[in-house]
Amino acid sequence: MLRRQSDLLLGIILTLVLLGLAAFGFFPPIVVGILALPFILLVPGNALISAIFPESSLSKLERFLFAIGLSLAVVILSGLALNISPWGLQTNSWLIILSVITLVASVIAIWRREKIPAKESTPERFYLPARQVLLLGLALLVIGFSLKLTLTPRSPDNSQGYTSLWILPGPATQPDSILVGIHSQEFETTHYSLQVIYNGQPKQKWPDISLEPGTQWQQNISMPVGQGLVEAVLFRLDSPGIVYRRVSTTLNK
Amino acid sequence: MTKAQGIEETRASVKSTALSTHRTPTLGRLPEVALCSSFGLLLVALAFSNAVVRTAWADLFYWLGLLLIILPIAFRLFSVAVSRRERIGLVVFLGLSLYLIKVMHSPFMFTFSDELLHFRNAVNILQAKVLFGENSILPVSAYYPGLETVTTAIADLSGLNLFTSGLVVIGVARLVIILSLYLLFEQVSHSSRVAGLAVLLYMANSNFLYWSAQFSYESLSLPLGLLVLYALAKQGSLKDKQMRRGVTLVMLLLITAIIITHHVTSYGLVIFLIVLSIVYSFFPAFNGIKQPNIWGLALTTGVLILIWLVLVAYPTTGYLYQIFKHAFASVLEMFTGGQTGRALFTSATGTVAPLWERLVGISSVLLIMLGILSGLYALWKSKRLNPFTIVLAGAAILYFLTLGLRFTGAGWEVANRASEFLFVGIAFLIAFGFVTLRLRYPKNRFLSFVFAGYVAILIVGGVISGWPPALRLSQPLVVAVNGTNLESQGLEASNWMLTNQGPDNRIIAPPSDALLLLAYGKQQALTGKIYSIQDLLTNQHTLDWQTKILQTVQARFLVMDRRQISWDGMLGPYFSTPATSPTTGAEFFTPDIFTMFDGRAQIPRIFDSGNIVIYDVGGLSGVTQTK
Repeated sequence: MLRRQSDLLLGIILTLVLLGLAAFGFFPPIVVGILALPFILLVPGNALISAIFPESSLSKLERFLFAIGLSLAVVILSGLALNISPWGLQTNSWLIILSVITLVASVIAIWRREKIPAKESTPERFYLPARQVLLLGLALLVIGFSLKLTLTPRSPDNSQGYTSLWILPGPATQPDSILVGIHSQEFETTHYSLQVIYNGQPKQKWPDISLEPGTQWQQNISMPVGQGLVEAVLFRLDSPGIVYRRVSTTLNK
Repeated sequence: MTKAQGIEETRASVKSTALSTHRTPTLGRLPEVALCSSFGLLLVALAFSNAVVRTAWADLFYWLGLLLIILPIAFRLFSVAVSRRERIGLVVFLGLSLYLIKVMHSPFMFTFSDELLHFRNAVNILQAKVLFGENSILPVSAYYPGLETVTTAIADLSGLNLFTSGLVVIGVARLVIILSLYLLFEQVSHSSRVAGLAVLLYMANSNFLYWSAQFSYESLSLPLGLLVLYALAKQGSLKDKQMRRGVTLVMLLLITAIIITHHVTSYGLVIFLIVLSIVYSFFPAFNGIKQPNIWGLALTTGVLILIWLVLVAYPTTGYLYQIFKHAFASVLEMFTGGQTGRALFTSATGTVAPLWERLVGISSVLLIMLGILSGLYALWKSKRLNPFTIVLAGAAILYFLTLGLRFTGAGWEVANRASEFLFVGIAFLIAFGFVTLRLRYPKNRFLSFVFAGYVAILIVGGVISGWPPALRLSQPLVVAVNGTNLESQGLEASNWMLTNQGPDNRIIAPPSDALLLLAYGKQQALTGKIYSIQDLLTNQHTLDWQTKILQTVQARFLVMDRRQISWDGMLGPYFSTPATSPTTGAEFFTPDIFTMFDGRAQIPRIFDSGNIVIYDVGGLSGVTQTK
């Protein structure tokens, strides 16, 4: 009996393990990550297809394919059901609805299978010679290496770096201030000068701000009370006469 | 031929009654072929990687890699002495390898325009815990949340991020489409050889490599649709009533999921069911064999589609109507001389493809036409017509009609999208023709080279005609400098908006920036010709006119992008190449356009990254609250 129902029993055990982990609020990320994928993408469909076709009337390939297809369908339809439920699509509601479907379908499948006398079948042993294992292993290594290559972010050759400059009203605790920021996405350390202008008059100047690639500089700047236009103008020290970036905001206090 | 195929069928259908354990090496030459093909993946990875990308070698590595993945498998599948299991292994390996090319193309985040739309839908579901959130750029997509539901379920339960979860879902969908196609072709033709070749040929459709592998609703719905077709074909061969009922139940579950996942696939499916029902009804008149009655299934599918359309997805009809209306109007205009045809092999920016690409592209179309005609002839001569093969042949013939659409701008998209549906029939017919030839000349080695060459031209031609040349190779969205990852300007602007202005602000922007703002900046971005946004951002107008548009849109922010390419949602998001002068280069808007919102006190310029500038236009539109 155990061998005949092994796929369903495995699905039930997987479901119960996940439910148990949830009940104790214990979700070790790697374990859950590994268990969740078959729990969503294979187990519900396998339980359903076994409940619908308890006999071995489908080939293993067909059963596998329908199990995946039905699992996807079950998740989509369950999502719709959860959407109209008061709980919505949350971790626990997903866990409960998929567990209920899996367990109910598994019980029906086990019951229906048990009613059918077991047929004598030809046990088929999958045989893979060592040479083939080695070749497949090598293929997987090459594929893994290929993925690793593309997962390494590009060097910036043939791309162009940049700097962003921004201006915002100051925080609520300092309503008479503005916030100016510089974020360097240049490909080398860059030196800047920044000038803040209020109603056309220079208000403050930073003659040399040096930023490494990916680093940020920001400053709260106090401003006079009243209406006015504040501008922040950024220059690169290697091209001091050319405005590199420019932002502005209006004060209305 | 018939005799040889008969032998094959007999072999396939023989069921061993021996009770002894089999001990057979069942993978055949798959490991050798897989190792060989894996070096093709390595070449493609090199083409995408630091050492080679943006050099003259990149294209060569890419095409050689693609051919090295496909050709060994094509040779092997064309061989006579290959087991069914090996054929299945070969097509699954090929399908997943081609999917890995897409994964390697964008390994850090979703970057294709449709992916960004669906990513935002998934973000909405994950955060709000309900379906049907707002999608400002493609509202219809939110009414078909099947893909996002599965993705967020995985993200929720496994703790994987949305990007990885999405890759897993599309990978599983890729497995489903390969196996469904194989079993469908095998069921219809009763030949594992035809099935293997047909799946291989299906992969030559112009959308298979990238489009069907992207995080988009059709990438999930089409595999489920093909699984329904397989179930239908299987049902037709079943004698047991209870089994047939069981298959109907499975089909209904799958069909309902498809309806929730993608509009066009569900409409395509109901059309297929109706046509098959008609053929089933008339077929007995010719050969006297009673056929299944699937009118009930077709009717149920139609009713379910209508229910979804009326209760949930009512804006779909308007959306699809516009697409088809433009397609057919442009065809009509072309014939009446009102519009010049679309220049083939010419990109939106006017770049003409190299001569060899044009030759391969045209050759692939001619070879497909030749293959369809040969397959039709072989099918007719073999007297193996059945309702399923008739409908598949009909789908293949429709391909000729869609070729006309490719000569118009608006029709091209419809024709290109149709290819992944019509190729089910095309691949079947071509495979049938080639298997007929192979079985007639089983020892002719030259035929294997002809077939491999044919497949190579079809697949390379498909990639050329289905995907922008500049996007075939991976483009940099993130680069690393001394171990620090730097992001492109569009991503920087999106992250800045989310951090400093919060989510869900109405913002108008060119398409590539709008898509990034929608997906990663979580803004309600608007773009394109709707509300005259394109006109507003690319032409000078009076302040009154601009104010009226901004008030109509209720926009709080406005993005100007100096680059012309920002109006291409697919090509715009990446790092720019070192520029010619922004003031003179043809790839930039002129300074008077780019700076037209400057110098107005009521329009603060709050962010400037060089190419991208963000303005706070709340003073003009009257929207002063950020969310």
